[in-house]
Amino acid sequence: MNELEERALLEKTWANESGPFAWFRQVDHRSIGRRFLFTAFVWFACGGVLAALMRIQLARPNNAFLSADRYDQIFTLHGITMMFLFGVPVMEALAVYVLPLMLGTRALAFPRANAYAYYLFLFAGIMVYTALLLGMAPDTGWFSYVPLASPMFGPGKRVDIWAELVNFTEISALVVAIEVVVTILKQRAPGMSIHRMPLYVWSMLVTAMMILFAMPSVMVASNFIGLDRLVGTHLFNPAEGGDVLLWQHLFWFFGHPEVYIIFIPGLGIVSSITAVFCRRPVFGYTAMVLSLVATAFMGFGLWVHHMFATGLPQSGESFFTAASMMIAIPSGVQIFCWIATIWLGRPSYRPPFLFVLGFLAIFVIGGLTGVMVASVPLDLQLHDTFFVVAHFHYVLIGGAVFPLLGGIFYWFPKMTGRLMNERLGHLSFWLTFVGFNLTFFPMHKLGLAGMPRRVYTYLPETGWTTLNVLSTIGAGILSLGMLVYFGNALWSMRRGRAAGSNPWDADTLEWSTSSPPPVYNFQHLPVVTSREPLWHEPDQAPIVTGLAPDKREVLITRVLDAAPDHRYTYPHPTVWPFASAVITGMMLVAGLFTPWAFAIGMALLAIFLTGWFWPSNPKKEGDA
Amino acid sequence: MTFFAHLAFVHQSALDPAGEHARAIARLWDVFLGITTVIYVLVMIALVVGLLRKREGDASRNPRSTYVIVSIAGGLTVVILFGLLIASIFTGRAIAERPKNAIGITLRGKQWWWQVEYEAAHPSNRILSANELTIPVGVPVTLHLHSSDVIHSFWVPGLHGKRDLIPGHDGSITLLAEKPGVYRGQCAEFCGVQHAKMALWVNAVSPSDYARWADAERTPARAPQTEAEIAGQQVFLRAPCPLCHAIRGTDASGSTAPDLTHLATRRSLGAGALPNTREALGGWIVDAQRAKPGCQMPSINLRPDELSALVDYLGSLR
Amino acid sequence: MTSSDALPFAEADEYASRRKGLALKRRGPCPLAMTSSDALPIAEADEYANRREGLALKRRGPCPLAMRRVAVLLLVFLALGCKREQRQYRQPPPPTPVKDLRLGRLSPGPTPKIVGIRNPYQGNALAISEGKRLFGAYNCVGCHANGGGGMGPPLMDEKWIYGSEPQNIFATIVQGRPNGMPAFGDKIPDTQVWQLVAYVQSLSGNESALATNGRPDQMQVHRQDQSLPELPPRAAPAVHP
Repeated sequence: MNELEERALLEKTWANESGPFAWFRQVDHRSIGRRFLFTAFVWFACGGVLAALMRIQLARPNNAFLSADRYDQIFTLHGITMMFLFGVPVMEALAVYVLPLMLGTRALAFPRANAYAYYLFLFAGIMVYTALLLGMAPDTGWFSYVPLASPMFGPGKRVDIWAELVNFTEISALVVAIEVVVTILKQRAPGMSIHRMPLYVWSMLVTAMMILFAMPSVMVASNFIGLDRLVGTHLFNPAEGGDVLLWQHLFWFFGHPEVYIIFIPGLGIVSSITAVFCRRPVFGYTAMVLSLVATAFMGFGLWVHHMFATGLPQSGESFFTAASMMIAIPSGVQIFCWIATIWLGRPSYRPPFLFVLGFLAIFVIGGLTGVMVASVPLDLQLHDTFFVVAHFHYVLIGGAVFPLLGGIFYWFPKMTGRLMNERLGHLSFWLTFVGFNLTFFPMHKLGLAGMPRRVYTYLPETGWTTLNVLSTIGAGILSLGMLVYFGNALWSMRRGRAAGSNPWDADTLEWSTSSPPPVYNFQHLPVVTSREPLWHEPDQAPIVTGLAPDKREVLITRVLDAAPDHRYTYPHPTVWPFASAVITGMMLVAGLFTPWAFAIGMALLAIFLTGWFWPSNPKKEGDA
Repeated sequence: MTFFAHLAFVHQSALDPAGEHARAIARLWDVFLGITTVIYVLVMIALVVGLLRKREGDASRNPRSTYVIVSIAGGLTVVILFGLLIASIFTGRAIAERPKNAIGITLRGKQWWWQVEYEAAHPSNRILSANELTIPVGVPVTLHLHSSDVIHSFWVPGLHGKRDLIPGHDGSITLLAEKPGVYRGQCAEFCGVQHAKMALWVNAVSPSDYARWADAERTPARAPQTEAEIAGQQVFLRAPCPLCHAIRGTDASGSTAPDLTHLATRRSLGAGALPNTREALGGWIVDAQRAKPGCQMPSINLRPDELSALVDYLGSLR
Repeated sequence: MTSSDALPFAEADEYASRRKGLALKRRGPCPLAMTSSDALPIAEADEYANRREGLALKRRGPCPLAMRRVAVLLLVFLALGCKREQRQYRQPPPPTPVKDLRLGRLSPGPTPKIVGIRNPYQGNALAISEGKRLFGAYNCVGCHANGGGGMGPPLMDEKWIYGSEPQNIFATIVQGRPNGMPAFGDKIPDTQVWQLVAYVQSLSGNESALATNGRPDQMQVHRQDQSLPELPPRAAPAVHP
């Protein structure tokens, strides 16, 4: 058949449904990815509003803008939102959208699971923000230490809501991580061997593997506290043989890799953007890959640095100091490689690259203050003060949000077919950069001047007022920058200048298809023969033939050399993921009130999963 | 970096050390700050030069010199980090010593105040107080840290780093003040709704002043002298107060709330919620929840004359 | 056909950009609007699909009515928890009814109608938690243990000597009772007495289980040997004549 016929058939095979319930049956990775991104940014905006409220409260000593209880709920929810509802999901969302395109395949692995994960994520945020509106949001901090979170000191259901939120978001994150790993390892374009994978793909592979090992720890912790509160176990009750520090170990064993999970994708985005906007591949590919892998492994060996004040044995603490400083080495190598790339390349100061420059300026400060708090004696002064708040905002906003903003700008034309406005992009960058530094740099000094974290107010005679006012003004500027950025995005979705398939003249495969891509991603699946496919062989690229256009066939390739292995048929839209997510959601919400919810819920979920996995008649086109 | 220190009216800064341990930490801070600042400046210079320099030739060339420079930078990173690690370990060892003849104080963290008990072999020599410590300059003081409810954290930045008070895990921290002064600290681990108002003070005085203070603290409460004070004591004993508070020398022997025997010597009420003045004390008794909502002090219903007498009495407890 | 890829960093398709929003509404392929991305053989340039995607982008999501219904259900479910979760720190207690109480079952003349006073802290998790703390702080455990009784009667059972209504329990605490219950009237502020009332009611299951603590963060009262049979109560409860 000729090109047009093939295209029409592919279109029909992979078509999204229409109709009132089509939204609930969607399994297309780009559609789910867009929803994921949109929802994650909604939670980001909510978390930002909470931060603004906190800054208003702290602008004056003895301020009565927020009551103590309200403030506690707000700072807890700000942390929960940014870490559980935004940090990890937004990076996963971007991967869900971009990865199949960058890998030259038609779909993300396990599309129905992808939908399931999205719905759980959506329900998680709805649950916890409804709780905030009802005045019963969790209020024990995003890390919810026991015994403050224990039944006696945390009355009501607030902590249970925290525990169920963790269950929701971690199931969602784990499911997406599995999809990401499988897609990267088994669905790459033929010829994209493991040493030809783009650095962004490496970063997502490493992140997803970290998620698989880190998330179970926090799920164990949250379910343990659920057991203590609902069933009456004594896991964290020292009077009955439990241990309060067990919580901290379980939580931080997750908590430290969590922050790497959030910013390692940012490092991948930085590599993508730097290569394109310096017109050359990133310097030192092997060193970059090894740095990513080393960071991931080492990230699991640092968690005790959150517990230096608890009185652990000194030799143990020294080990974690050494490990926490050591992890600066691969990050440092990456920074040097990027600077080398800039040095050797031809930089172009467009907004995505500006965000990368902002990342470099900010993240390095964060990394260096991280080396400071890695030292036990210094940490004994700096722990639980605003110095740490400054440190982690420098690494997380600098290391994850700035690259993310650059990445959104960069991939926006691919996703929407339109370019974001460049002048507004420049303006939003500068507002964000200046506002961020004005907000968080004074916090270093505040921490050294004795201001602890998580305080709803302070006295005027402490002398902290001036710096807090500066910080609040900075927060206003930062908010303005964010408003301009997202206003730009929303406006450009409708009215931006139309983009071609490769407006940045980039090198990776997603830029070879139209903007936005057709529902089947590529009409001709590419074969890759170099690390920068679009820069080295735009005219002579071989393609894959032989996949049937009348079935949802995807080419599965081998792990190391990406040689074609077999073909696999992917499912059509179906409502089972949504239904299963609703059952899971009901189970977890009912689990706030009674442990029987899990018993009954699991049984029901088993029924729904049976429906989901029921093998279909291979003769008709249907669920695989 | 002590530039802003003079703006504060309380001494709560890690960069203005007045204790041996805080001084060691502040020295380490200077080392770290100096080195990291230099590193940052160098990296930013490399970035800016890399952006602005003139280029010729093929951008995707990888000259050998670049490999050399990046490798050297990586190697230097390792060396510098190792040096910082060594400095950190030595400082850590220096601040961890536990001298033998230290004064022992048991500090119990409660929601949201500090119970202070000076240990002594003979029970009658023990001193019970709340939210304030008085220590002699130049003499090591070891605080034995216990928590009665949730995790708190003892932190007086002018003297030392922080140490958590963890239920089920008893800890200790040794302070050594080098200069006389008043050093303020705060609970540094989120412990509930009034975590922000859980301050404590350390008064470092000369050893002779300390001995005088300790003797005065051990005496029972000063007997009421004026008519108002006598009436106030009666109000105290009739009101709910004795169920929670103790005043040694009277029948009030409650143990769940701060000991009031020498209340008038303290500088604050409610662990920093209010200053210890007559008006504030009256307001605290009648409506503590206004100053510190959620704290464990209930509002006590008293007639104005009763309140006035009670405040007179409590103000006399020097 | 535009030459959008002739230069690096090529910009938009001028034709499509002039048509702006209109391009996204087109329902069929427009050959003139095909970009030159077809110049790259492996490129995809399907403007038809492009505009279909644009349509998909405009769709607002799932059926708004369904979303609203889900939200309302969720709100109702969680709204049932409002009273439980309130944390009022400065609530004045209601007036305390010391007369108009029925302490026993017998009364002369016709049975008076009792107007019950609701415990302002009923069903409130913070109050029950505070009540538990006060139960220990004021040494109620000294006589009543953790509800099982000892010198004083058990509070976990269904026998209420002086009545189980909130105002009866309030009066018992405030007035004291014969055989050893002290009168705490002057010694415990009214707000705290109401918190104790809420906690005492929770001991016997008269409070919402959702608002009650799961377990204390202290030592439990153990049964020493799990195999022992249930023991009968040691003393017959006092019966008021």
